[in-house]
Amino acid sequence: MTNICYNLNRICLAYGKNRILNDISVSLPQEKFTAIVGENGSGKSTLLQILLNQLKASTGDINFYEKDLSLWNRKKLAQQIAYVPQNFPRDIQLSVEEIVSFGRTPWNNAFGFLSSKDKEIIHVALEKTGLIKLKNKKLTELSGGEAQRVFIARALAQTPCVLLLDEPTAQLDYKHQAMLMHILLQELEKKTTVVMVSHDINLMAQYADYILLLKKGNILDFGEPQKILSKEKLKELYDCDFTIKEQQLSPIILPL
Amino acid sequence: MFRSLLKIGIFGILFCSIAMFLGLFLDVDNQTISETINLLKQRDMLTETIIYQIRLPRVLLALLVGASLSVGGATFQAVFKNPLAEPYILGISGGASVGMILGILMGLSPLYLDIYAFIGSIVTLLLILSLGKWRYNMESLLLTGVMISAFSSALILFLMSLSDANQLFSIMYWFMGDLSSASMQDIKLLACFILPICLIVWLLGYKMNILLLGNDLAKNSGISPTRLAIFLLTIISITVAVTVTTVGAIGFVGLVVPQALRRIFGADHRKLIPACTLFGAAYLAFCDVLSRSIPIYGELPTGVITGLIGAPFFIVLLRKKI
Repeated sequence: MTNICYNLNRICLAYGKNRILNDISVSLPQEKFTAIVGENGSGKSTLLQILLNQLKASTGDINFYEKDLSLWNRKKLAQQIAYVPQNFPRDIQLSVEEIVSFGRTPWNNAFGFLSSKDKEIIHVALEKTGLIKLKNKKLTELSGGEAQRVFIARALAQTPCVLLLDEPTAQLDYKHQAMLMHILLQELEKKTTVVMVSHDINLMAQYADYILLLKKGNILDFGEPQKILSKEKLKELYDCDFTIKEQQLSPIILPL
Repeated sequence: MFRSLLKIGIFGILFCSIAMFLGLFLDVDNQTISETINLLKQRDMLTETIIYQIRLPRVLLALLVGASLSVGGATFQAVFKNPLAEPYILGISGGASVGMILGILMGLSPLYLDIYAFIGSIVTLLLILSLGKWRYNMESLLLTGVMISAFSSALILFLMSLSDANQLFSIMYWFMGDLSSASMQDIKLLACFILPICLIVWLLGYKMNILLLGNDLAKNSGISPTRLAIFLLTIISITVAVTVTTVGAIGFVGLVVPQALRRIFGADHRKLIPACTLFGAAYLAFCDVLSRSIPIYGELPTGVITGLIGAPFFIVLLRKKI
C-alpha cells in the first residue's frame, strides 16, 4: 500500500459568499507525481496554497505526514516543502546564483552564510536547470522562461521531500519543458513527492502517476491517468468536446 | 562577501573621515584649513571653541542622522518592495513632525517630544498600511505618501498658526531640517537609538533579501514576512522620530543614498545596510558642509541641500521606473 503524504478531509475555503473550494477530501500519495488539472478559476492554485499552509481552510482538516499541517513549525515545514510559484517577481536586482541560494534558507543560519555542502547543492540545482552560464546575471536581465527556471532551481536547492509547482511549464519552451519533466522524474527517484498544477493535460497524462480533476472547487475525479482521462470526463471538466488519439506511448488528447 | 564588506568598510570610513575633516576645518572664522589647523596646534581659544563645541557636535550629528536616514530608506524600499519608498516621501517624517509640534504646543519636555514624534510616525505608517493599495503598484504607494505628506504639511501650518512668534521661528527653521543646533546631549541620545538599530537591520539583511522574493516564497523559506516587516518598520519609525525631533524632517537622503549604493555594491542587504550606514553618514556630512559654504551670508538649512539634490534624482528614477 502507498504511504500518504497529504490527507485532506472535507476542506472548504470561502471568501464571503464566494466558495473557492468545496468539500475536498483526498489523500495524496508519497513519492508519486500528482497533477492537479482543471479549468481557469477551478481552485487549483488555491488548493496548492492550502497544501503550502499559506492559506487556511475555512473548514476541514489537513494532515501532512500524519500531523496536522497547521501544527508544523514554519522552518521545519520549509525544510520539507518547496514551492515554485506561477507568478514570481522579475525586478530583483540580485544574481541568479544569489536567488537560487535562497533555497538553502530553511537549512542555514540567520545571516545566510553558505557551507561547502550548500554551495555544492546550489551548483547541482543550477546545473540541472541549465543556468550555470547565467549564474552571475541579474534576474532582471533574463527572459521569462529563464527566470522561471531560476525559481525551479531555487526550489530544488531547498532539497525538499515535497515539491509543489504551480504551472511551471507556462513560460518554458519544449526543450525546457522536457528538461523540467526529466528533473521531476529524477526527484521522484530520490523519493520526492511531486504535486503540480498544469493546463497541459497531455504532458500530465504522460508523466503523472495520479491526476486530480477539479471543477468549480469540487473534485470531479482522482486516480491514475489511464483510468480517469476519458472523453466524457474531460467534457464534464471543460464543457467542450475532446478527441483522444491512441498512440503507442501515450494517448494524445485534443479539444475539438 | 567578506572582501566586499572590507571594501565597504575601508571606503566608507575614508569618506566619513574626509567629510569630518571638511566639516571641522572648512571656513572656520574666515581662515584657510591649514591656518585653522595651526591655530588649533597653538591652542587658540576661539578656534578650539569653534571646532570642539560647535563644529564637532554638528559633524557627528550629521553623520548619525545621515546613517539613520539612509538605512531607513533602504529598509522601507525592501519592506514595501518599492525602489522609491522612503520615510520622508511616504509622509512618515511629516507624521513625526506633527506629533512633535503638538508636543511643543502642549509644552512637553524633550523626552515626551520624542514619544509624541514616534506616535506621529506610527500613526502615519498605520494609515499607509491600512490604505492597502501599496501592495499593488508603485504609483499607488507614492500617491498615498504624497497625500499624507500634504495632509501633514497642512496640519503643521495649522498648528503653527496657533503658536507665538518665538515658537514660530524655531519651528520654521527646524522644519526645514537644521543641524546647526546640535549638542553633545542630542548626539548621545541619537547614538543610543541609531547605532544599535543600524546593527539590528544589518543582522536582518539576509532576511530582507528573502523579502524581495515576495510573501509566498518568503514564507516557503521559513520566514514570517509580516512579522519581519512590522518589526523593521517599527524600529525605523523610532529612528525617524528621534531624528525628526532633533534635526527636523530632512528629505530624500533615504532615496539618493541607497539607490546610488545599490548600483555600486548590488542589492544584497548584507552589504547595502553597512554601506548605507557609512556612506549615508558621509553624504549628509558633505551636504552640511555645502549648506554652510554656499551662502554668502549665514547658512542654509541642510534639508534645502538634500532636497535640491534629491528631488531631481527622484524625478529621474520615477521616469526610468528603475
